[in-house]
Amino acid sequence: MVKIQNIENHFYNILTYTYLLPPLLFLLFRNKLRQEKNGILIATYSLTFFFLVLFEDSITTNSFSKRLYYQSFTFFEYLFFTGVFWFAIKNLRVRKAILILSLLFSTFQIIYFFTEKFKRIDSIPIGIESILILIYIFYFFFEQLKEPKGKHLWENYCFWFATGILIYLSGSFFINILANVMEKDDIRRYWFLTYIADIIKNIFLAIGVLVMAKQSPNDEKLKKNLPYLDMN
Amino acid sequence: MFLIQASTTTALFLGTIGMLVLTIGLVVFIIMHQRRVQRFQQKLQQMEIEQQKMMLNASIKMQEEERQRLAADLHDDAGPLLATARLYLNENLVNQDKVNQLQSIFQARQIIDDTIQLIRNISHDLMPPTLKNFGLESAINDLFQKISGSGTVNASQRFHDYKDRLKPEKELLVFRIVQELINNILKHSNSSFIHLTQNVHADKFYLRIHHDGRGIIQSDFEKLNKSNIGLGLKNIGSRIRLLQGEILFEKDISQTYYKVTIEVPKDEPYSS
Repeated sequence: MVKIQNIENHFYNILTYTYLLPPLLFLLFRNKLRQEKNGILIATYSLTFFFLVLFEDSITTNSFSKRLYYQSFTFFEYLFFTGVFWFAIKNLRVRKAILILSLLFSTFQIIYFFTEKFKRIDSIPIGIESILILIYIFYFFFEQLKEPKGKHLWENYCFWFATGILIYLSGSFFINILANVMEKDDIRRYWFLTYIADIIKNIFLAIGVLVMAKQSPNDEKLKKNLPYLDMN
Repeated sequence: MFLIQASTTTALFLGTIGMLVLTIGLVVFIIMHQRRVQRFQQKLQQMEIEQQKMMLNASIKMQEEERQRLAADLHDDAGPLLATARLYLNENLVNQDKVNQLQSIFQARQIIDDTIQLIRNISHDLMPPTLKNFGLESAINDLFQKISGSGTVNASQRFHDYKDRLKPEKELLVFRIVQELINNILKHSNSSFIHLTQNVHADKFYLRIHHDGRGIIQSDFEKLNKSNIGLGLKNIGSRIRLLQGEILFEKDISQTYYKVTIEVPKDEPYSS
């Protein structure tokens, strides 16, 4: 058991610091990414969640703060992930639908917060959040398939964001759903699985930021390597 | 109790593994499908490009051949004919009185001289002899001297490195692009100066035109290129495509000049 706890701690530490990868890369390529809304969004998300994860123990001191922490975690995670696909999806109708679904989800979360008894985590909002984000991801992929561009899918930074989030949600979906009905020991034993999915997600987000930085407009291509062409 | 617990754990594992397999499967399927579609599209695009290139090449070649033929006809036939007409006129006026004779001769000569000059101009416009004989630098120099000669616009040019000339067909295309750009500047920009700079870097040949009038930026160029207006810009676009080059319209950082930069692959050196 102690061994398992140690492994879990290692994963937890790795996870905490992998949250710093996207903001650090964003900072490194800030000149190129200054205008990229999704770059700013992912960097802000990662930085926010780095602090949330880092100070989890000091924030969750009592039952109420724990409840507030987990629900806020779910809410902000939904907000940031939805933001990414809101900017990536082009269909206006779908964007409107995302907005309506988000409003409904937020209302549900508020009601859930005040009405439902909290046990370990907010399984139901997490489940709904996961399903909604999965739907957005599927639509994003569908849109990519519908309008294929000249370049490979992996040259699109959003592909990396979507795949990372997809792996994270798939890897943590069942454990989050079953967290309130499983034994405490089992939860402890298997919780590190969510850390692995989370670490993979952070790495994919970082790759996405790198791909985003590599993408440059056509005119940039001509601007570089220019010989002396000024007037004097 | 134990059974329930075991089934929960099994559900957790099976569910998670199932979800992950589905996820990875979905991503792999999307990548594979996209690659297949892309390969098909690439093939289609390649064929389209080839066809367009062939058509464009044929049309430009035909145009240039026609222009050269016209130039030769005007220069070799019309010129000498008019000159001979002038001689005949001189002969037939011998029997008139002196004052009228002199006046008619003077006027006839004047008109014929103008006609010869006009034909020469047309001929030069169709196929600039300087370009053919002395290359792009001299042709652009000639063009700019003519513009400066008008007195309204100060046109200057500087070739930094043009030891290795472009191939004649490339020079002609570049010259036509410059001509079109200069025409547009003179027609629409209301600028007081035009400056052209040339340089090379690695295997690329660069030209940049600066002017201080009203201009366009890349987004305007792309918009006009797609619209029904702006035939001249479309010609520039198709010539650039034919040269496999790039063109960039932008405003100077100082916001006082507009710049047009042309990048053309150099190929192997061509000696004149």
